[in-house]
Amino acid sequence: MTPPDRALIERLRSLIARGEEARPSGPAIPLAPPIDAALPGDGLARGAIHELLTADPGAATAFAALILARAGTPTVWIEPTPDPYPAGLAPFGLDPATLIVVRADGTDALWAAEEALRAPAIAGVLASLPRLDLATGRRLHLAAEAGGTLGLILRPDTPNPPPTAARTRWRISALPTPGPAHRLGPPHWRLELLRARGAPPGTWNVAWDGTLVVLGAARAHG
Amino acid sequence: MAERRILALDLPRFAVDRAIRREPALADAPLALWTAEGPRRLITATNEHAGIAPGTPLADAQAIVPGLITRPADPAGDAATLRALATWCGGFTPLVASAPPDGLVLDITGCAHLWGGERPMLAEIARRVRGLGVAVRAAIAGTAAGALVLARGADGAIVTADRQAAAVAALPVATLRLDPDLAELAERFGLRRIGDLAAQARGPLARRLRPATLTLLDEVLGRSRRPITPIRPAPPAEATLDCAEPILTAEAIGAGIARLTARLCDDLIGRGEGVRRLALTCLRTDGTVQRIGIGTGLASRDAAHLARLLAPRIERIDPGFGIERMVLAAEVEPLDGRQAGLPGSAAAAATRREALARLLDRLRGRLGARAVVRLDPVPNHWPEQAVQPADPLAPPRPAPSAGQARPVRLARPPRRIDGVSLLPDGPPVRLGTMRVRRAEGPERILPPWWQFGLREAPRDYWRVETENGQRLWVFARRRDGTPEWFIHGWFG
Repeated sequence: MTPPDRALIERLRSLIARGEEARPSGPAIPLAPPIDAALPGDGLARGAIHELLTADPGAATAFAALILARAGTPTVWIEPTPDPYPAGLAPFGLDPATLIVVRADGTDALWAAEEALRAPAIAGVLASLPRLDLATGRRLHLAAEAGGTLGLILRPDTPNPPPTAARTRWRISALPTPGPAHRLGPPHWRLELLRARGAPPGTWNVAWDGTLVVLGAARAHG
Repeated sequence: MAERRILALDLPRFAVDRAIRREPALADAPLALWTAEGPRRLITATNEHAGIAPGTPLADAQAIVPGLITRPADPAGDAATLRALATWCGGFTPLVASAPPDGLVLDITGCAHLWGGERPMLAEIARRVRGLGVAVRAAIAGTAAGALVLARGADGAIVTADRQAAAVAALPVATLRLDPDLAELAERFGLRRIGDLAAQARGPLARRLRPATLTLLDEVLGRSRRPITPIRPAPPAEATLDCAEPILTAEAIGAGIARLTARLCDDLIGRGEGVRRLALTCLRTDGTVQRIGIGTGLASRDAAHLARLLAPRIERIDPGFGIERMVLAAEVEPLDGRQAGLPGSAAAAATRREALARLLDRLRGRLGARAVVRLDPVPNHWPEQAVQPADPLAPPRPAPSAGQARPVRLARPPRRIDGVSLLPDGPPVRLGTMRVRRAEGPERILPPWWQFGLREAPRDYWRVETENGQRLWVFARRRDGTPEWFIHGWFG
């Protein structure tokens, strides 16, 4: 390699580095102390997309809602047939007054997600994208990076989910709760961190009682 | 022609009232407005604490009234405010004309009954104008000129067409507002009242006081009338581009749009307005017209943003054999230079709001306005109706207080599922293939019978947890005694 080439590469490298730092994306979003400790950056990183496999639609939606609420305002919710119910989301901290609900499917949904992620005015984006391929996922990730926005991708849980460009991938399921048969207490969920860049996988059983409480840390995975 | 009824407002100290509205502290001080006429500064108007005749040199006035506060007159501002006041009067009747420098004329034909008659209407309008801090005298007659003269000379007068001539005859000639030289002439002849003028032979009168005076006199007396010229809304915001060569390509149309939006936005900066709706009309060489349009969530005069909103619609334009002229017309609303005076955080919030509005405009532009909404909770117990889509930028409604637990997602419509319960009114023990482990309820919700009549059955809602922990919102609807089960939502 000749010296001018090296200089060019150095310059490109610095440009790339600067590009990545272009928009400071703010502190990571905390979940619960034991989980945050296991994630690089002490929580879910902003300026990135995260994937939630919805083993249970209710649990995954509620978990997504509480992350969106912690990301800040305003937030965007993109689905082919959006059915979020404000009265049910409010207990998870998500204020319907600052939630923009977008009905979009297919390429429209991808386009809307990219636009919203790229907008610095938006704090968080949730998008139901059942067929997100690696290249498109990478594109959304770059948009999130550019906007400093948190992106949550909801997709159905499948036994062998395809590779992902997301910073983290989770499977969210519901757990049966103890207690009397005629009363429902705080819900219990299983949060499985299947994949995270820069961190080992893990599983946590949690309860939601206004805050996220880790029950038994089944940290070791497999 | 049917008889018309005209209400006139005379604003005797309009310029002074405006000055005091700008600086309320001046209300209790001797105040004079002045204007420069060549090298001389002359008083144009004073308030009641000064009492100096208009036309007095400013220096003399300051000598006569110690402590006189003086402000330059602002005839252009007065005229603009008068026009604004005329627009404001459009709330009483659509036919309003301004009678500069300090009068307004409202054609109230057929309107007075809405206010309980002419006298209550007159009183109400006068009260509201006074509420704006502007002194007013008002009268109603059959012609605009007559009503104006009556307002000046007999505040509160309401005269019918047949009594108008007699009513104005008694008023001083000064209320006619003749040119000063004509007024002086009339004075010299000893013609003090309008009736004195009216009694003169028309020929000599026209010769001496000019024909225009005669015309005015006829209108004042109700012998003839002129239709009032209603004020028009502000001229439309438009930009036009004539193409040297008929254009055919999407790129050329895009370039044209860029120039038009830039020109339009330059114009709007001067007008202090921003675009809410935009229509692009393309005139083709074959004489037909192609049109596209967009709307914005917040008023905008960001040319690049507006061009971006139009861009996806260019493909809907069929240029045919070429477009020879493009016209961009905007529906506008006031948009002040908000960046100017706001403190840091408020400016940042405004910028954020604008950035958000731009995103919403783009989303709506492609997906349609109804696909981009905010879901407002509304106080309605029927679950399907407890949510209402709203404009995301509209002011938020107060959230209804939290009641019973509600699901994070609502099934629309409710999904029918086979359910088994052990007791007739009991919770389900099985839903489809799912075994129900626990159930909380029931919460009975009655249908809004005023909408559905009696065909919709009441629903008994249960929050249930299945054996694998899934939490559902289900209801039983009884038809002929047997419950039909539906899933209506999912809990976290």
